[in-house]
Amino acid sequence: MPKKFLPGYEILFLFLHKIYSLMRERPDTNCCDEILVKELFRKHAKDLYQFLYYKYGIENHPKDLVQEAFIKLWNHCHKIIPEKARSFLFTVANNQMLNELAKKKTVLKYHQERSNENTSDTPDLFREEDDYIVRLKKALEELTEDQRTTLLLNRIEGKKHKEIAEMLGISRKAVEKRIYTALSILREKVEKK
Amino acid sequence: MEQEEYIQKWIEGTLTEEERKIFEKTDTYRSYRKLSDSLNAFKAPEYPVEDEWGRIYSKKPTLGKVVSPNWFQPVYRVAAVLVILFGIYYFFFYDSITTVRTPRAENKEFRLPDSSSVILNAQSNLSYYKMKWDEKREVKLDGEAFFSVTKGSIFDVQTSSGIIRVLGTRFNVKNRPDYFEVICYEGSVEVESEGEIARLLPRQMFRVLNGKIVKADDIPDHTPTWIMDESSFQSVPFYQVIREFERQYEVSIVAEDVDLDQLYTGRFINSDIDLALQSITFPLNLRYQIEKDKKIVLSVDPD
Repeated sequence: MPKKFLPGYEILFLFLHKIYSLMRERPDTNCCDEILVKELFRKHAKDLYQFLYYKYGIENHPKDLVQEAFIKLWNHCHKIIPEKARSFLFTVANNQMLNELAKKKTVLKYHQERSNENTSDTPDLFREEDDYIVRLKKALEELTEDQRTTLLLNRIEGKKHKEIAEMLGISRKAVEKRIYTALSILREKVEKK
Repeated sequence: MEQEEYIQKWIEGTLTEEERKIFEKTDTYRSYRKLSDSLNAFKAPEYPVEDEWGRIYSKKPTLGKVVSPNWFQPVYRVAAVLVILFGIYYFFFYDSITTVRTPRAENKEFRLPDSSSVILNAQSNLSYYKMKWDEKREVKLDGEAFFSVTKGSIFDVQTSSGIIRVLGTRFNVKNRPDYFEVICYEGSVEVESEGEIARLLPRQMFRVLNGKIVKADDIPDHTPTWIMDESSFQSVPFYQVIREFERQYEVSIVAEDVDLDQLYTGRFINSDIDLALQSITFPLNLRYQIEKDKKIVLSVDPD
């Protein structure tokens, strides 16, 4: 007669615990969940789009790059935990561009805010304004990708230095340095007559 | 403070109120302000999050891998529920059997959950359900044991040869192949075996030997002798004595031309093999020889 028919309570407990942790951890350990991907999209897609737009310009189709990055995320969902999704997306989108042979020169679009009443009164002033914007556009497009991205995310999108630092994987000090350098270059170029 | 330093601090946002006032009056500031404000004209087009999500979602068929974990999880859930139910059953209802055994040449004394005490003779085993003990005092015995049962509800000893039922008493049960013996030492004992129910009072014995019932009421001892390291026999066939000897000494006995059915009355000590051998051979005119591998040969003494 066997002393006990079944293994001790400890083994049963360990088994239950294992099942419990499998149930708990499984949905969180990767990104293979539609609702989760949607959530990640809402959270990161806009930032990623802005980053790509300022870095590579409209001609390189930042919207499509965002799409591709998310599809890649979905295809590799088993290997990615949600906390790493953001850095995965940024890295992937960036690499896609680096590998792209047909990469186009960065082109930015601008829209001028001009109130109609004043148009006829002081045309010279607006001519000057126009020139200023055109020079600025050219100068911006001539900045390095990193300088431009950093500057515009900060100045236009109001992203904090710390946020940008995390996004680009550099220090906060470096972000400030870049903004400073970028602004100096721009100023020099737009004010040169 | 140098102008550059002002600019740096302005960018960092670490200008003090006074410094800011001074800086804002400079041409440099105006130039930077204008530059900074003009940058807004280059704002990225609004990103239509929901439309873009729709675009990704429409490509979903190519993302087949996503589906697999979704059916996998219910499986885990079902498995977990089953395991939990099983665990609850196991925890509350499953009653594991507690078994105590003794090897040859070894006795063991222990207590049952109600503190009744049991002394188990060599090569015996006793099992019981610990969890059900409060409902039912019941043990299964294979071998020989001396019980001192505390008073209480019915206490049953189940053996292959019969059932012994008591309320609170001291008694010995010997359940060996072809041999069943119950001796009462205190209180009273009810024995059911071979279709007969017998009630034993102190020093009375009930024995079934080869299907025949033998009763006696002149047991000389107040406790079984074996708990004092002595095996005693009252008109027991000699082969049963040999078997008990083998259990007590871990030896194998070979008997040559010896009448094994002759009855033996007497006792042998369980701690000294030479003395014990003399005790079983001398009264029957036998002699013994100890050989290697714990083998003992008995033969008729020609003298």
